[in-house]
Amino acid sequence: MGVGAAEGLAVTGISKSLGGTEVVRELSLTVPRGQLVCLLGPSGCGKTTTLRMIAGFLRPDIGRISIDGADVTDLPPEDRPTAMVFQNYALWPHMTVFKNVAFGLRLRKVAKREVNDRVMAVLKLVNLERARDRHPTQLSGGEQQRVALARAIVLEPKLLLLDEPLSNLDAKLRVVVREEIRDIQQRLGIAMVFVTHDQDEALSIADRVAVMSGGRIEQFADPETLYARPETLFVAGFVGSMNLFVGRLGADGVVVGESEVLVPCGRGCFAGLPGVDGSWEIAVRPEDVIVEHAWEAGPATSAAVLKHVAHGHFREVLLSIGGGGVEVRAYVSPGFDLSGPLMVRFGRVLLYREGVLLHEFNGAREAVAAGSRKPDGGGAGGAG
Amino acid sequence: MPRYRARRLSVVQVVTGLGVGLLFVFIFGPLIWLTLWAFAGVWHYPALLPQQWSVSWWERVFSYPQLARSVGLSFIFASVVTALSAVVCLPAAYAFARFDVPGRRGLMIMLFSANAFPKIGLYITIATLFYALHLMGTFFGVVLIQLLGTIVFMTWIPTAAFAAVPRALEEAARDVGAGRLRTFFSVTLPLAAPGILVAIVLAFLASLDEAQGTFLVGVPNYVTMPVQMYSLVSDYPPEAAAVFSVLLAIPSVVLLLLVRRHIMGGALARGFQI
Repeated sequence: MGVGAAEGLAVTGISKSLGGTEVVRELSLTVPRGQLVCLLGPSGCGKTTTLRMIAGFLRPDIGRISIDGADVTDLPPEDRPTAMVFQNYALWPHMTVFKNVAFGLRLRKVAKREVNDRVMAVLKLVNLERARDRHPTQLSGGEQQRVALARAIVLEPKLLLLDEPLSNLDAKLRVVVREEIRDIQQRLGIAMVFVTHDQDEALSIADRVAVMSGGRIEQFADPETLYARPETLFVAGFVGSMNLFVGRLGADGVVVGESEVLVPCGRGCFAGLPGVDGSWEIAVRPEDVIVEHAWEAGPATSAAVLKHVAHGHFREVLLSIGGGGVEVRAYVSPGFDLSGPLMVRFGRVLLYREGVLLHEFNGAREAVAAGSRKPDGGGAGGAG
Repeated sequence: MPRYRARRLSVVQVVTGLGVGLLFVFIFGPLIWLTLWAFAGVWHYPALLPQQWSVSWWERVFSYPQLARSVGLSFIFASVVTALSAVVCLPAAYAFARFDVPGRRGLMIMLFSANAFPKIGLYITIATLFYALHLMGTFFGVVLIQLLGTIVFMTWIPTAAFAAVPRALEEAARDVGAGRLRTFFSVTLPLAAPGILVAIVLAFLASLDEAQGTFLVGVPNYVTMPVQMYSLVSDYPPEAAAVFSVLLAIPSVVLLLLVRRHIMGGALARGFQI
């Protein structure tokens, strides 16, 4: 399964300017058949624009889009083998649920009996057989969403596109429905592109996630890799919780903050590192901040508790370290005694320069990994 | 046992009540009076109601060939004008609603201008043009001049109706395979239909009631009901005039009652944006 596969979606170098601003810049993406890919990013990153270009509602200024080997860049939406689930469902209010789902089939002059069979089969899949003669306005948000999904699936498209389909549902329903969507996707083996700004959603159901910012893909990888090895500073800060500092490297640790607090990482941790001088962007996951009681700690820096929040099976602590204005977020077990003097060191540190991951230091072993960023997820971090 | 206590009315309520009452009399008084006349057999002042009721005047009105012809002509013109107006204006309305037409606002306000000026001045200028084009006294000439009054209804209201149809619904139709034309007829038109219906009704009534322009252009070949009214008052007995007035009012009342629900609908108001 590689970039050259003719199956599935292949987007090559598309760019789009809207109203004078470049909203999507030279974006490339591949979605093999049967995979669920999420476009994740904050508002304005270009994810919806990209989706609409794939669907055919917008033409890219440059670049090509092909599905299963066939170039569709010049085709209007009605001629593409894609089906879209819109953010507000876009169900036709003057038609019943059945007619909504059957519309596409009728257009293709499918025989009446077959239309009936296929529509009822797909309504059964989304558990809405009994609603066939109701109108969309009589349905709840979750039910409307399922009708929209049914309408897209019944046409057996090669690619299913979803534009923030869960954002109008309440929190609990969101979790349930996203599992249902993933379930259906896997059962039908359809390639799916899912746009969202919610990272929980993306990380929990996608095979691979393309984290986007400013019209570009920052990193395209599976959820574990995104979390463990964010290739850019943006991804580091966006995915999960992260402590971010600007500082420099010392002999046995990092020096962060204006007051230049030295936080040990390990004896001789950065020895022999190329480019060790100068300013670095340093990222540390809260779970990699090691908090110990003063009497049992090795080389570490002093820390004082500012705030702590219980999260059930762990506790989140905000610490001020080195006696001078640098704040660090850490996770400790619920039983950890926070009274008394505490010390802090970093067990795992990600080093970035100009926003790009260059080195990772992990515990006693130094793992020097040159982060080479390729737009479609190839290179050191990609799942291939 | 509960005791009924009469509420003391405030001054504001009394004045408002009087105001409404006066308005009622002012508006409905003449209409009621007309209707009574239309069914009056014998009615002499100072009786409040006719002494004799009769529908004979209705028969008589239709027996005058000139009057009967004008009734038929009115409806023929109204139908032709409305149809022509729809054909010309609805595509424009769709363009205004969906496409980024340059100078859109200016164009829409210009269309409104035909109704903004005193009509008689406008019509006299048009009449001179019609003389040059040999349109005076022709069927098409009358159609044209009545068309003017319908344009603002047939563009502004359908534009709002089309704009009120969410784009996503049209996109969804195209996404499942419908071409632009199919999308229009299956999704856009049915959803915009109430607004368009209102526009058609208002255009129809505008054409039916159009007097000044038709008087200038149509007379003496084409005399519609409103034009007939000018001479009716002097040439025929008052009962005939009353019958005619009621005849003219009936389509308006009936059609407006039918579309009242849609005129008051929020969707139409929401779609109204320049």
